[in-house]
Amino acid sequence: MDWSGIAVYALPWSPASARLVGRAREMANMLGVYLRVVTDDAAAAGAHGADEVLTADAADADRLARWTREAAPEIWLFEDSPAAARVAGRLAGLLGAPVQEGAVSIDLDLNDRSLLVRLETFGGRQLEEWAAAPDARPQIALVQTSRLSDPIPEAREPETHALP
Amino acid sequence: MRFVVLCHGTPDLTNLSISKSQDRVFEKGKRSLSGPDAVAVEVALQKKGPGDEVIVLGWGDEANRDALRKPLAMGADRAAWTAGDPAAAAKTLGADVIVGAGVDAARAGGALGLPEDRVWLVAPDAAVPRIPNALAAMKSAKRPIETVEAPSPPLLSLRWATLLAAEEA
Repeated sequence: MDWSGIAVYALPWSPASARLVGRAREMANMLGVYLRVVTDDAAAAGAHGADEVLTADAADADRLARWTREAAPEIWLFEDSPAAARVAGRLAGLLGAPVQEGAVSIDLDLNDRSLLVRLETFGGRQLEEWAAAPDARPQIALVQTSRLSDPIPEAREPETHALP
Repeated sequence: MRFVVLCHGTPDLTNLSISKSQDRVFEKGKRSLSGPDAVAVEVALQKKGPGDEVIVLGWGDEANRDALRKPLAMGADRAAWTAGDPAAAAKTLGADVIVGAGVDAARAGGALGLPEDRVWLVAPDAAVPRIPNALAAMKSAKRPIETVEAPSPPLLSLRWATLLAAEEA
């Protein structure tokens, strides 16, 4: 399977979603790939740089897993919240992929297209940088969006359709 | 019904030391059960009916075995630990219900193909339950912790580590 692109789960849309989608836009530009956003607010996702919006009022992990097997995004990003963790964790289990939670920032290693996540451990005394799963696809991470900086909006006119 | 509760050890943050080069943190105390994990154990124990079984499953570092003593003292029937993938180990243990506080429990539920209502996730801010008494803790200390063979999970890899605030330690 040819894994390519970045997917962001932004349900429901919130200011935190804007930061996550904005960061994902920057990373998609670095990789030269599509950014797809699952959300209930297509206009906001487009305003923050989504190339494609999959609209849904609610999305369970089973639907996302089916879509992931078809669309094959190499990276999945979620906000680090209990509700999103439930979806991200189940999605990872269904796909047989690992999932990394607690990222305070995210980056890319362009040599092997690894998603790099930075974590604070030991009560914030130590900062560690991990490759979310260099050999696994998709690479799934939960990101503490409050730690991301506000994005510079890069508006797009996204293709919009309903999440199958 | 077999409840498998995922419990990960948490380091004692009041008992750390730092290397002279200030680039590593060492744990001096034993790992303990986190508050949310204790809630997960309590939830399983409260839902347990006649003929049901509550198994606590630790994984990762060998040091995380320490954290499994407290669930035994709280009343869990068995404790198991794996160096491999907790989702695979939960399958080996024959989980009918997965209970846990983190994303790992949701992942295990998906990997096992359990329906959503068989995966009970505890909120991180749930109230921490009763603490086991000293006698129960002493009895639990003699009970074995099984080792479950499981394949390695898809690996994460550490790139570097650095100390953020050595002066605070």
